[in-house]
Amino acid sequence: MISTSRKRLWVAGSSLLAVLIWKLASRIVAREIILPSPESTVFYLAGLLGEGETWIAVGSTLRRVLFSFLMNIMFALVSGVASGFSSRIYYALKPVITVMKAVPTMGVILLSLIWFNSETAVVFVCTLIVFPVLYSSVVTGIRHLDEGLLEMHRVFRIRWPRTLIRFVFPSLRPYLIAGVMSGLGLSMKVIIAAEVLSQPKTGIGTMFQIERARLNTTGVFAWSLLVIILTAGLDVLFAVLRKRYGEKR
Amino acid sequence: MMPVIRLEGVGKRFGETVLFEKLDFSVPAGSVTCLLGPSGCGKTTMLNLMAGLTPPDTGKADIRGRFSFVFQDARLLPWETVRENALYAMDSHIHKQERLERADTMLNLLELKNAVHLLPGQISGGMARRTALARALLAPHEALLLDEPLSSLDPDMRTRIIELLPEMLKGKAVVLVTHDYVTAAALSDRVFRLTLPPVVIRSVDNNDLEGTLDQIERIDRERSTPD
Repeated sequence: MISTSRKRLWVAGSSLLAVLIWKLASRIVAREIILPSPESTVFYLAGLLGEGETWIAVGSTLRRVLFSFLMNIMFALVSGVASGFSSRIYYALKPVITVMKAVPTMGVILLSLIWFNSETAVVFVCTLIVFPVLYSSVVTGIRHLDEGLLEMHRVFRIRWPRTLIRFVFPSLRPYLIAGVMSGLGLSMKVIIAAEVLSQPKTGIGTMFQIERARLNTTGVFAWSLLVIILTAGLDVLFAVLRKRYGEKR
Repeated sequence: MMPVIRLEGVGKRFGETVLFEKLDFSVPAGSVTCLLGPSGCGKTTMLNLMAGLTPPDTGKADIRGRFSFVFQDARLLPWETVRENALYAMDSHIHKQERLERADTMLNLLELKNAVHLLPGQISGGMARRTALARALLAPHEALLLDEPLSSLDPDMRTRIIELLPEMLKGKAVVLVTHDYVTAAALSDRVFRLTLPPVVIRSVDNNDLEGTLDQIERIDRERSTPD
């Protein structure tokens, strides 16, 4: 294992290298409309941060991400626990999940635009794409429940509410954490992609589309940078929450 | 008296090995039966048959009402404290204060007083087994199945717990698996001694013996004296 300071050094080093390559490439290309330079991107981003419209867009996207993510977690818990315990439900859901996993994101977005208004479409798309990920981690968690403890619950005939709350959910925690970690980032990407196409009144995706229409490549870069920062921020926030509340039940 | 635990004409085989054939066995309330015998003779299987954890090939096995089980391993919830684990199988309709008091009395008797707030990962194997024993004894069930409950305890602790157990087991139908004669002698009203397979019919008049430990030891002596 390497020490924390060494880890930071490597992370900083590689980031610096990436920025240098970016800078070099933009020098060679020498056209902002094809590849904007790092500094003009950062400047543009700084300008964006000063505008109220930016924050409204960020707020609506985050709201959509969190809302659809929480819904997904709830659906995944209910259906995952059910099909983890009953192979009938598992096999009944299997084709549905397979379709959800295989269906092309863009196809879904286009179809849902035909069916719903743009607000509903975004959340619907996210559910369709992210749900299978969370569902699979819950099912895997149930499959890996401690056999001996399961037998103990059966023998003592512990009632199911107690079994769920004190045995099943705590056992699922590591699987849920892994699911949340990958699911949150994925939700962010899918929601923004859906926004780009569905154009709700406000949202990061909407802003992307506006910048693209103006042929403002620097703007597209700046918004991308903002999304990266937001996703990293969500990850950090989640890690902090986990550290603070994770060890308790 | 109506038996609480009952096996009727139970047959069980694993591959070629016939463990039980036409086995009849029952335990009434207020009686402790000990299953003795070398490892591999089917003691634990017999317990699992009674508990419904292993289905019999023929015949039927059942227990009237709910029952408690002490497994060979402790099987505690790792994120709950010793006290929470001990209370786990107790009914929630009993008042909380009373539940806590009963649990603490039991844990004191089993010398776990200083461990009540510790997690299973923080206690020794012997303490974990005693917590599992507390959980089984605190559940208000008529029947109790114990699979070598005292095996991982040190000799002094075992002696002290053997002294306490008859009081705690009072009124219940108990089956106790052990290969320790001292435990069997101290706790049981009746002993069922199993021999290693292959045995065609397991019953008193075959190689297996049923009776008090004294009777069984006398039969053993008579058998070993050449006539």
